[in-house]
Amino acid sequence: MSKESLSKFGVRPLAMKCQFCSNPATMHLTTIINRKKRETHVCDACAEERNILPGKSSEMPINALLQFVLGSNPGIEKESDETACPECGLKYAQFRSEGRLGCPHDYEVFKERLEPLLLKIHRSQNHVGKVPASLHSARQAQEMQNFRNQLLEAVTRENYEEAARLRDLIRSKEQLDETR
Amino acid sequence: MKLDSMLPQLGEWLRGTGPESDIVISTRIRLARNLADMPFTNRAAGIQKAEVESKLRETIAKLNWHSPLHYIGMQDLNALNRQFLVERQLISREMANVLEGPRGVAFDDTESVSLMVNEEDQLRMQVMRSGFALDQAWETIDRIDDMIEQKVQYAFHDQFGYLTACPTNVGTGMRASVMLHLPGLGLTKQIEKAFKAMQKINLVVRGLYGEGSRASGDFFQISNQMTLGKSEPEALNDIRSLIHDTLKYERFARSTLLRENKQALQDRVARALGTLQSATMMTSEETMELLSAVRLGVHMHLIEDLTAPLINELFLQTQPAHLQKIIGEALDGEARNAARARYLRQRLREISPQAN
Ligand SMILES: [Zn+2]
Ligand SMILES: [Zn+2]
Repeated sequence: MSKESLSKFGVRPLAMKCQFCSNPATMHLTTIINRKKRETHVCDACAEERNILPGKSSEMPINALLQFVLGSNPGIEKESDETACPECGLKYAQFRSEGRLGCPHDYEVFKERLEPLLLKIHRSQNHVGKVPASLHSARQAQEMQNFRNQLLEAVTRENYEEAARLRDLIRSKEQLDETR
Repeated sequence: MKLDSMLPQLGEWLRGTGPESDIVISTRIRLARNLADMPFTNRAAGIQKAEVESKLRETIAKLNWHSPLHYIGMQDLNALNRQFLVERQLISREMANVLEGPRGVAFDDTESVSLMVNEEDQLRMQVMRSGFALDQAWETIDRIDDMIEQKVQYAFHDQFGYLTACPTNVGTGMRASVMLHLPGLGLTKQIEKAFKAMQKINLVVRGLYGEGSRASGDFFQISNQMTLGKSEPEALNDIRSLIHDTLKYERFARSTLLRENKQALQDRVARALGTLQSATMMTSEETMELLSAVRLGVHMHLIEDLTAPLINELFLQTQPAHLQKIIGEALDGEARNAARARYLRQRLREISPQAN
């Protein structure tokens, strides 16, 4: 990659040294993650090698954050790092060094170790947001079935107040579905 | 399709129009998706990558999108053409440089939609808009995502959401970025203050700013960092409110400059234009800096005959791959600097700063 293309959207020569190799730095990036400001000064060669690129599509600060979080996680014992995903063969130790998971199953296989990591990165362990439409309707169907079971149970217990509430709830949900 | 035919055209995101386009250059939203029961790209065997590619390529080809999506395999492009697509933001640098095996990109004629196959994630969808247009961009990408999801099964987890190769993307898989031009804050040395406001919310701000008296600090990109624990609209709202504050700061800085330092500002803009019109060697860095000053001049009505789309065009066309395609030959760094200066002189010949 040429020097020029690196410079798109903000690269300027300053008399600072690259923090990786101490050649003159040509890029000066400012990143703010979780209220901490970090400055990165690198030369073109190191920027290219490490895929540190300003603007554009680079996700450098996020990857850097991940490396940072992964690197500062000494509480994990070596032995469990040897467990491999039965689907793709990835070991947690490999994930720690590469920062990439191998397949969708890894999220289950390494769930217990990923949860605290996700909490650090996102301050959450739970997805909130879009759900694939196919799952969405399956979930709704499941929910309706639960309400029907509860209704049946309420009727057997002769709790008619509760039964009426559930009946109305089911009706309104059914109507909502029809209007869609 | 022939890439060369794209050369004179500006993608939608560079049109220089749209809400707040005096400050907001462009809005981009991308979604990362992977197929269920398939290893992620970095761990997939060649045959699996080929399977993913052909499945997604077919799905994209059959999409009932209102404009045709052209699919190009990366193996069909030489390095210059891949760099050309990077400069137009249609593919990532990673796509151009790093990954092996079958991979490709589909994009539409306006270059506002781009779908990368077998990038770090198997599908990286991106929608670009010029100006500040988070809602429009989200609506578009959400629709494309729905359409694709009808044909393929995504890797999705009840607790973790859309599964991605890197845990920094898991959940919504959404990264929304807004590119800002903030010369007013740079010139009035208030960029630090603006950063402090940005720090209050968990957003990533990237960009650089010059130190000392050299006021630069022009281009900044603000993106959401977290993809878990917030819905897409919530994440977009975080960005939106921060941008609104930033716009206020920048506008205030610009009006202060105009009121208190008009002459100095005029001088700065005129010098930038003059250098672009007369230099015989021009690096990309310097071009960026000078065009940034000129862009400010246009939006503050200090330059006649020059429009935002023309400046955007110059930003784009003076990048290495574009420049070499315009000249029609491969050029080394020094030759490029000469060619760039010549090109800028030609394009800016008739432009004059406002004389008052
Ligand atoms: Zn270096
Ligand atoms: Zn696996």
